[in-house]
Amino acid sequence: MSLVIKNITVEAGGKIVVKNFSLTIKKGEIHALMGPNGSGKTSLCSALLGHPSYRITKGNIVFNGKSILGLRTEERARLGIFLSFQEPPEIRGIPLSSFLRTIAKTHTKEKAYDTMRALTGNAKKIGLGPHFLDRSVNEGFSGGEKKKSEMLQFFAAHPKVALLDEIDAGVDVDSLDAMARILKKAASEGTGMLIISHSARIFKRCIPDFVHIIENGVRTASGGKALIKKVEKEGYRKKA
Amino acid sequence: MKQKYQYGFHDAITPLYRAKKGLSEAVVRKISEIKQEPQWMRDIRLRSLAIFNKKPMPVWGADLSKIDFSAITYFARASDAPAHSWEKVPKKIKAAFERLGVPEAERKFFAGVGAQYDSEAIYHHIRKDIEAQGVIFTDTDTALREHPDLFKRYFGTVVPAGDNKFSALNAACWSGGSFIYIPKGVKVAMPLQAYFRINEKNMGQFERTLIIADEDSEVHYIEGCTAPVYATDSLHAAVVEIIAKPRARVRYTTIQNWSSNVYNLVTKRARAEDNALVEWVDGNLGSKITMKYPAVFLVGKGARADILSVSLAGKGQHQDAGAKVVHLAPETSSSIIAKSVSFGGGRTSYRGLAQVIKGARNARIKVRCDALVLDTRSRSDTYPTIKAEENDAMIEHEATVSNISERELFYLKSRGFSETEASSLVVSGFFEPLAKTLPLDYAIELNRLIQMEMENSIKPA
Repeated sequence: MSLVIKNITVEAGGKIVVKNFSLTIKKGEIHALMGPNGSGKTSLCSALLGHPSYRITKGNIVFNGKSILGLRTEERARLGIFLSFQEPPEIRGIPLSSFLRTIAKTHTKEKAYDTMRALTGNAKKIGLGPHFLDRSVNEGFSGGEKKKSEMLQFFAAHPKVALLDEIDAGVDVDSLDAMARILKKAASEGTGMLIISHSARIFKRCIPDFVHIIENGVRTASGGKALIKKVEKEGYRKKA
Repeated sequence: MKQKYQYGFHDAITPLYRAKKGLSEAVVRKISEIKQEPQWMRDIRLRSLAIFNKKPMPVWGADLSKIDFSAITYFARASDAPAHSWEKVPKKIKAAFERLGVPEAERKFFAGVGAQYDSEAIYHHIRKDIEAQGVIFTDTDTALREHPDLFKRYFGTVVPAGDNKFSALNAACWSGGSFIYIPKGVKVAMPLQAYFRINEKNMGQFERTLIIADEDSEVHYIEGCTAPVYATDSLHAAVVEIIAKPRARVRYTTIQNWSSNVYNLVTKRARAEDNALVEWVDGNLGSKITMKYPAVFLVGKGARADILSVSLAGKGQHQDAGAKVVHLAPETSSSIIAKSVSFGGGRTSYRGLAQVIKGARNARIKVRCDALVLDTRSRSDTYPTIKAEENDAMIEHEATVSNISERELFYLKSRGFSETEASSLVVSGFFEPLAKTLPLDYAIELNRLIQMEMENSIKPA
């Protein structure tokens, strides 16, 4: 498995939001992507999943050797590319449990039953009780609860590569520990990841193989986990 | 893959008798004669025909100008008499209903089942233990013959012939429908079900349903409707009357899934006496044009009405639906929830009346209309009327219009759902309050129907 982002430039609302960006995510690799607010992290994710408002004007996205630029969002998702949203919308009237079951069926087919069984256990571990599963998807959920709902959807989809946009925001420490364990296990089973976060909290629990910094839509630095410490200490402006 | 309207098949069944096309005194007399009715009923029919001819077409709602009354067959008889065991139903008709799953449904969860084919009931069956409690569940023609006193006492008392043009048409041509009487104190735990099928081309179906729930009784009645797809139009103009005596509870559920060539113009009204509860659950998925506003007249102190109207309008469809509550007694309360979805160029309208008559002190009315409009080609309108003659009436009216936001759509697509799947997921969620009131099999069927309707109308972008 490999997701190769080849020198892409993304335009949204008449502005360039990502510029000449390249990155390769391979099987089981954990990549961290950090950057100041408005640096293009979320735009990059939207473009990778084919959001209609994010136009790729240059470059290519290649998944397992094939360009996915011509594929619709749902087709990219069905190939095994997952996006966890920074701000997930609420879907009224659909119980989270049946939503998860449908996702599991779509992505893990005959293993859906086992997936759902394991998922119930994971829900408890990350601090989402059974009553959450009966509620409508994200409806009335707090910020942290929405992230947990994203986490369960990640688990149900069992993706080949996951883009996790601030999956840790607003999540309490105990739940974060459990989430990190789920992510590490998924990585060890082959899921490649791009974890986006402002805080080093998650990277202490789920240590990245590679760290990248994005500023004004441009990748300005890459390195190992030491880069996180540097950013923490000196801020983005002084890192390189 | 595109799925067609599943119930669009037509059976090659020649009716035993088919009236000449068009409406005349001769046709009405013939219907009455074939049914060997008493004079008083024939007189009602003829008087109603005169009212129908005199009344202008209603122009305040959906566009009815394309209805050609002269092209319609007003009566067709498919079998001699309704059978009481499924084995005795004529073979071809049986096959048609088996395709619709009717007798199968009965075995599972109904206390009684009726089936109507074009003008008349072809089957009626009620469980022995229910019948032994004095419950009457039969077709309306049989009821006129076998229970003339009950019939005469209540027929036309809730919806008089002169109420509107189509109630007059129904009173003139009525045939079939269900007749239900629940004796004092009897609570029927399982629903009674009726199934209505139009098979003939350009057919007019005018069933007449009369439900009398005596004091302290309880009943749930469910009806479903389908028809073949023809290039020309059919007309369904039914009348339903419910009398809920003191402390009775009646729930009437309709899942209307007529093919897209049917004009569905139905008058449904209930009379709720002291502390009675009437619930209308009205699901409109099919038809070309529907005009239907289930009503409850709260005539007794403490009476309650609960109306849930749900409609789905796709390409070429106009669902003009809603509800009416008229509070005529003190301490009465009512709730109307109307939910509609329009897509693929379809149109939905909510039309409602909430009225408090002088003397109906402490009335409470709650109206909530939610419309979901899926694309810019589609349309939704709200026409609420509120009239209160008492100052202490508490009337709430809330209306929302929403669409599926680009955000929601992108979110669902990113989970692997196509545009159609994402839309039907949101629509199913929107209709969840309806699904919750239905027996499980009906709820599953409803979701399947929604998905099918959406697949027919939504083209991938």
